Amino acid sequence: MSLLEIQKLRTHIRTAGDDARAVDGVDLLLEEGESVGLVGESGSGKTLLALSILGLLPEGGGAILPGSSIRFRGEELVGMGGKRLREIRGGEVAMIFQEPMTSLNPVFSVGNQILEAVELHRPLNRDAAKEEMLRLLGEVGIPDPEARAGDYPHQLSGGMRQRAMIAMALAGEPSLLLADEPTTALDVTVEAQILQLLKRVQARMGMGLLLISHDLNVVSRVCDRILILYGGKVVEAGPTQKILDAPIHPYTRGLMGSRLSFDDRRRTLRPIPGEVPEATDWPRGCRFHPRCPEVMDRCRREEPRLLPGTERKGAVEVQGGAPGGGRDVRCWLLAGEEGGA
Amino acid sequence: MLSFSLRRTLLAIPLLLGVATLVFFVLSLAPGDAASIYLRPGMTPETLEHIRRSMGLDDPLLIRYGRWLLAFLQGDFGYSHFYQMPVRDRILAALPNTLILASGALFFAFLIGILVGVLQAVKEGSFLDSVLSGVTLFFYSMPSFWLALMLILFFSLSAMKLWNWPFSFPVSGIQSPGADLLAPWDQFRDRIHHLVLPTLTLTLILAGGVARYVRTSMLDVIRQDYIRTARAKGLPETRVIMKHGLRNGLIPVVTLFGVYFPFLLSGTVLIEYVFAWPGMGQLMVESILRKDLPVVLAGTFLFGGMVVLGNLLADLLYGVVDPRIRQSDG
Amino acid sequence: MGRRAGFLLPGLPQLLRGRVLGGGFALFLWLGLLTLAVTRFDRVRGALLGDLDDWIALLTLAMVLGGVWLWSFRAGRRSMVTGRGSGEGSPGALGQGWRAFRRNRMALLGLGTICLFYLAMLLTPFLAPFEPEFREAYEVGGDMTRRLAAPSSVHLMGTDEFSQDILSRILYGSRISLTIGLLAVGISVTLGTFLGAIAGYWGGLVDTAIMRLVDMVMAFPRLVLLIVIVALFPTTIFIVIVALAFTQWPSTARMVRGEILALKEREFCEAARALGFSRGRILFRHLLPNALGPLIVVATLGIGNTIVLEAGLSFLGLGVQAGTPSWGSMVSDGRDYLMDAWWVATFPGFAIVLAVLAFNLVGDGLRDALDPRQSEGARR
Repeated sequence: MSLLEIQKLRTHIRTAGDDARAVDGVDLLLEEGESVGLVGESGSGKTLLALSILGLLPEGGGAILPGSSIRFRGEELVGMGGKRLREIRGGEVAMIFQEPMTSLNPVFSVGNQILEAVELHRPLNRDAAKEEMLRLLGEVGIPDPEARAGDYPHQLSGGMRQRAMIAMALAGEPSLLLADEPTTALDVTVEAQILQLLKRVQARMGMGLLLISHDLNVVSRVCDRILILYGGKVVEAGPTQKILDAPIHPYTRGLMGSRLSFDDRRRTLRPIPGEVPEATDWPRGCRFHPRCPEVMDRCRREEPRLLPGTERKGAVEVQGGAPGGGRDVRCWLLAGEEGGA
Repeated sequence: MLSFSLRRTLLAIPLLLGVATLVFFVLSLAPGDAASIYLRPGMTPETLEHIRRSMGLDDPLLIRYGRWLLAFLQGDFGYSHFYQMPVRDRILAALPNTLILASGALFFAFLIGILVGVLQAVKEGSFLDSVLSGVTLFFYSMPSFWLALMLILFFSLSAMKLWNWPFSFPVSGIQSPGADLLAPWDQFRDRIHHLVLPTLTLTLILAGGVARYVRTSMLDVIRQDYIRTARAKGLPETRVIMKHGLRNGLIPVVTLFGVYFPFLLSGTVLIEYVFAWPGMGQLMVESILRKDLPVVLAGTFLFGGMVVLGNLLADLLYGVVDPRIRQSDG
Repeated sequence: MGRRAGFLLPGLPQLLRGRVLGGGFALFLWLGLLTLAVTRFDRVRGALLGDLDDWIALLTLAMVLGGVWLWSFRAGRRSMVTGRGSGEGSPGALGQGWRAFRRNRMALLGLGTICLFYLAMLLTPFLAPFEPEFREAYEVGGDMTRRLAAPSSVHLMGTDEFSQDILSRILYGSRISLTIGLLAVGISVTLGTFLGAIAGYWGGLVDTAIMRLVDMVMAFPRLVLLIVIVALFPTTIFIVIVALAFTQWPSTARMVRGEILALKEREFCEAARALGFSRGRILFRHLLPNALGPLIVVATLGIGNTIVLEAGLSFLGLGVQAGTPSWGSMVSDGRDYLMDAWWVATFPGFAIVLAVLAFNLVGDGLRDALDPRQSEGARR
């Protein structure tokens, strides 16, 4: 039994016209203690996917379609409500968000907010809970926890706020942490620290980690496996190293081309032309084809399926890729000989 | 926090002085003067002139202003010609009645308004929300004196007989005639009884506005990221709303307290008039009709002073509820 | 078809095209006024020899009848040509606001109600069943049965203690209530905008002086200041309007100043300064138009507020002098007969509530349509 198993997840947003198919049939597998990265541009549906897991979709901001399944240790989360869902939220599955400034409540001290989570999920008395709260603040690398605990969010720097958010997420000793763009709002130097912190606590607590980012660099530093999301669908998935070494899907290659790291600054930056289309209005065929440099006739007509990429043949057995195993790619470049059957 | 409070308080003092000055000059602009109430048929101009001089009305405006301000600062508000007593005593008798009425209405208006507003925000777009929106706007648009009359129409003694209600409330005064002879407990009950309709009127008028404001404020808050965080934490929805939501949603409502205070006092003037409630409002209206200028002067200043203090209180409260203000200022 | 229908019956082409609200309102207005002109034909004819009020009523009747017909006919024809209704594609923020406003049913209802109120006010000489001072008791030889008569088919809203028809008095009273509201807010908004803009734009000592004055005036409960001013001066309609305006301008000034301060920091203002435009030009041509949205909202809500206040003044007997009916004083009249004749106080009060409600609905709709916070979000 996997820690997290998402099957055929479709999360649509109701609009006045057509529904926006923001997440459109995503499969994802995450084992105990494994870290998986989810990469995509804004509009690719990655945040909505993460919110779907804990049922945190904003009212009117999206609905999970029937037929979707999200199982946490075998327990179905779709449609779950009430007490059990609240136990899982923050207890077994915790989440941190992109904007640490707005994600922390401005009128309560950070200590108070962490304490609230500790008391909610741990059978500790008041004093022990307070002790634990201070330990958590130390754990995430906040100096002088006693003093900082009384601070309000606006008194902390961005990095410190995100550390406090992480401490709050760790309060329930979760076995899965969902991190939605945890470093996007931070400076580059702080980003590195936070990523290191995430990696450290993940290893120490043996947590599963789902790290969501638009930045392939960020994800590759932390994750064992990577899923590339485009247009609400997985377009490529596989072990981090293999994807970095040999990206197959043109979109993945585009992402690699438009990233900039220190050692390859002499290479030319090759941005992907255009932008992600509206989720109400995906193009026919492959959703990436209007922007694809290697677009073929077939891409405009038919939508490719997710296929194991390394073998270039045979049916797909485990969608989303087996842990540590091979690659899956959704592209006609690979399956040219199969005739789209 | 302390320096913040101190600065706010210090800022209020010149404002109060300005208010006093404004009152004095507006009143001195008026044609006719205080001596004219002594005018009797057959009175010679000389006698009137004598009265004027003895009242100090002949002196230049600035001198009169200085003299008046000096006395004012010492708590001497002058002498009421109609009531034949010092203005201060007359006002001190009326002020508590107004404060009881106003504070009661303020409390219930904010209590009801906040409850309704939060309920509407949580159930945004529902049938209940639409209905409550209509009801609050209706009361918000209503003249208070008319609502008072409508309530009398339904809840007075004659209404009780007409509609066969099991209850009725007194519609005039602060206590029943002869209430002084009652036992303390019955006397207290009698007073509460007299408070019901005036307080209800003011409450309904104010609560509509409060609810409208709280609804907007809460809708804003509910969409914030930290509400999502609170949910992700595993908090029950009621605690998400009542703790994380309400605490933030109420910050702007504190400002509303300052805004509504003058509005409330305007309301008391009319309500006291309708219910013959012996408070500041009724005193003001009567004194104006009787041209009892010293009372008008002191009363107007007192109303201004209450607003300034109310705003000061709102400012200080703002510092208490919003840590961002509190910390940045001290 | 639509063209001919518009020629025959205004509003019909709109109705046929599914625009129920606009078409229905036009049809209702046109038929209603036509009925009025026919049933009260003697009065309409008599108006030719009447006084100014009669002439105004006559002019209104003619203009609205003609206007509605022309609008419907031309809009019907235009939509035949372009396939679209009128008013589409008007550019600018206010145009966008109007389009958003049109989607708000409640706000449109409020706007319609306001139009009907003012129309009724202008057409009072034709509409009112009786003269305002008409005392039937004396006409019918001292028949006192008409005194405090309950609502009936003759007196739709009953009569007061002088046997005067309440409905007629409400109609005549609307002149005071509705006109004063409009005029006082017009004056206060002009004054408040001017002073607020100067304070916000020039800053420094001018700003301090104006804002301290604002603080002082706003330190009073508005009604208290009003009754003091009104009571001290001889009560004329002029004094009442000035007093209402004088007690309202500070809130407008404060709002405009805030807007100007915020706008001053924005790029387009920097750009205008960099181009060497004069201060006055920047203020009046570039800054103020951007503050127009909130200003319209404040003004609309202010009219409702002012109507209530004026009614309060009249209720206390401090408003426009007795004799001229005003809604507030009519409620006050009914106070003494509340239990015997509920209609005397109730109906004028309803008129106030309805008028104020309409203005508040429109104000709310305008605020949603021109939402300042939305533009703030775009700024961020």
